[in-house]
Amino acid sequence: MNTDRRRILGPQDARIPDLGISTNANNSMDIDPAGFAAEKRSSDIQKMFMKTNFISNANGSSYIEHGDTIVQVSVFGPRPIKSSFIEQASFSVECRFLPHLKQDDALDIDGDHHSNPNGRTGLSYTEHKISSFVESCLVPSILLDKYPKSTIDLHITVIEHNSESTSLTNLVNWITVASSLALVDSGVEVRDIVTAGHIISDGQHVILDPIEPVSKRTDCLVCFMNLKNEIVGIWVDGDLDNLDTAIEECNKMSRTIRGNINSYLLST
Amino acid sequence: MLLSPAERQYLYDSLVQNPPIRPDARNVFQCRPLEATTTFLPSSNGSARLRMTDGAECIVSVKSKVVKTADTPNLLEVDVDVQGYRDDSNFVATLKYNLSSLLHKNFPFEALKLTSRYSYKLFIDCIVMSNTSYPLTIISMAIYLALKTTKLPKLVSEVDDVNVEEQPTFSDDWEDAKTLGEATGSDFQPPVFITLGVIGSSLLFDPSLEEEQVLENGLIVSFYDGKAQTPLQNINLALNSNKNNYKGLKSTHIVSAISMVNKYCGMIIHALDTLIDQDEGDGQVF
Amino acid sequence: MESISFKPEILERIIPDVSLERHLKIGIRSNQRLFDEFKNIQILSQKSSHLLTTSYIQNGNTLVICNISYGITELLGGETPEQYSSVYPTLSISRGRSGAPTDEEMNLSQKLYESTLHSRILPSNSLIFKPKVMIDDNLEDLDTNKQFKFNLFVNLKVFDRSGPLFDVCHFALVTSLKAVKLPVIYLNDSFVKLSIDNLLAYPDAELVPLRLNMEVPLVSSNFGLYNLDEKNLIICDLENESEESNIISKVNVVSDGKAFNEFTLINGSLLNITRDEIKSLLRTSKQRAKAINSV
Repeated sequence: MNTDRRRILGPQDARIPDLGISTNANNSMDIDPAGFAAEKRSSDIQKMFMKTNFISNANGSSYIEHGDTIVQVSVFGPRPIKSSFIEQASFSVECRFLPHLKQDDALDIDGDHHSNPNGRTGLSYTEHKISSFVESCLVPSILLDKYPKSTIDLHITVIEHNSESTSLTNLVNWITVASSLALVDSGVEVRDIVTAGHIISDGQHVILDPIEPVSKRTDCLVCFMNLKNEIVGIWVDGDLDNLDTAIEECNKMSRTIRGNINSYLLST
Repeated sequence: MLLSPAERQYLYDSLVQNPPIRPDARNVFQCRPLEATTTFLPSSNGSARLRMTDGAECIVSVKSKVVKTADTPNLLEVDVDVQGYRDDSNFVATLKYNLSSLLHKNFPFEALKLTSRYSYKLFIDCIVMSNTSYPLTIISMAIYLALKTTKLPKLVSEVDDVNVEEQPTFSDDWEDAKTLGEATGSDFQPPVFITLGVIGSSLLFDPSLEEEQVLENGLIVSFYDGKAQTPLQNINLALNSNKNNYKGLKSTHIVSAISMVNKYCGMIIHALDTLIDQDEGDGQVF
Repeated sequence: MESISFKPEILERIIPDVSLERHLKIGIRSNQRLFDEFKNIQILSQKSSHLLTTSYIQNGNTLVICNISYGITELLGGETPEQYSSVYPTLSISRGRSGAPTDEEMNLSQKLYESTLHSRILPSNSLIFKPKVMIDDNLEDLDTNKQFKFNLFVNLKVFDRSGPLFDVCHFALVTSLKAVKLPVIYLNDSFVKLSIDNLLAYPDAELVPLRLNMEVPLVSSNFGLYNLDEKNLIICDLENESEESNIISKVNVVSDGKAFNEFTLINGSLLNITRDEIKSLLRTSKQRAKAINSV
């Protein structure tokens, strides 16, 4: 229930309809059990587009397009704080989806996605979760003690996300990459650039960077600082068998992304 | 209590020893002592109150409702309330997200099925009265105790209502009520979260507030069905203190966390079960 | 005493009024544009699907993402809607703060709502419909008196604000409205109850463009009037802190290139504005609307 009375938000009982089921067979979103067997693309990462430094009133900004996902990140800071002295910068992350986007509701804790999207001011549980995950991934990379009495704020906007084809973990993968890029763009001193890898596996085959719905046993997202091979974030759902192989594959993917980021940054 | 730099260094040095020397002389795989009471809320289907030696206290109540299965996407709802934190704070929201995800992934939902149309829906309400260290473990253990002792009324109407629509009716004798374990016909053990602190090459179960301040990282691992499960995630446990020490993990940390959970969590579950047995029939809290 | 000199961009931040006056005296603006020059405005991309219309609009450096989605309400019996409807806009400006909407966000949302309503571009009839029903894989008309209505929710996300935003937001809104296509709404089964909870969007039929009472998109233009040496200077499309906060006599004109839909004048510094000046403003905004719509 919205409590914002300051804007004209439209009728509260308006309901956003679902899309009916198409009778055309070819655009169905069915789970594809043959995805693993066919090994369509077991080793490649989907193409992505990235851009940095296009917002002049933020200290750093980045934009990533990948499959159905579009993420924008702005870094504000280091900015001075008004309250009492702190030895090192405080770092905060806020992730927001544009209001019409359906968030991953596998847990069904974020309420009804059929209701009027206008006027939501707080963050949903999913947004909070992503914010705190990304924060814990990036904190080890930033030299916070270089910036006493300051805050560094990272604002993530999820512009497009198709929760039916792309899992939340895949989205978080690209959010993490975009956030690292924005941090580099802001010039805040970092130890290493955090990149991530996301895989799913059925126990035998592994698919890197899955963006189509396939049945899976393990879904594993791992974020790395590649310089010393440190794991700064791990998020595993499903089966825990062969976790070390999964981490290894995520590492490969994160290195590939890192290579791409390096060449992008060198060429700009 | 925040530690001074010297205290922090002293604690850090003793914890990176092999084996680590913990301030309260605990072993790495030991949780802090706790005391608990179950089934003390008369209007709940299951309840538990859990207290730790550092003053942390958590109350969990499980209530049930009969719903139409087709209209309810979700038969479990967890709500978390922590004293001193706003409900829309990141701290509370992340706790709620993690607990919901734990229970959704590891729960015998068939135990809630009543008829072909109707099911029970469980509402799990957690209140943390006070906490010093990260409260995930204590909430999760309280949920374990509450779910384990939850009793649901016995259905007396027909189970098969595919053709005839019928409102389910229940036995009015509370003695007939069944626990979730009896409903599934197996030894039901709800899932729990174990919080592990990472420091040097060591892993510490259930870190205390002082330990959290010097930790290099934190892990949360689920335990269900006799072994480590997902969700498995890393997490920054020290929310209010400096993040000086926060570092990345090695993959060996994760592998050994899983094997430690596999090895020792059975004992924790066994201890909780014993607690329930001892508590049976008492019903007095204070 | 030694005098301190500042770079122009620093001067603009510490004493914006002096900076503005100095710039205008030598006949330039701090954003390097001519007095009668507008920032470039263009649609970067636009797409519409069954549930959503998205446009990306660029205006100078400012990027606006406009999303129009809709919700369905039932028209209660006997309710006769007004002849024209509006949309429900919410706007957020990315500036590194969070929390409740700012004054500017609220005012702009309100202005967009009113502008859409009073320019009479959205007839209520285009939003009212009767659902169909699926019988044996065919859509058929439903025998009912119930009527339903689409409510358009507009969300605008603004990145890199550098000046007043009404022009760009208005442009984003009307060009997106032009692109909105609505689906056929149906009931999956003739046995289910006719209520908004059971209505679905039909995925296989062609989408129908929203009927608007607007042939070409309306274009909003803003002007500032500033008194320099007893003469009024007309400055188009204000930008930057110094112009925005110190030029307080403002004119806003909405036109489609042929006629005028809206004219707002706020004479904050009580200037003596002449008839010829107003005429020239109107002419410029008409020309601009024509130019934008001919692209």
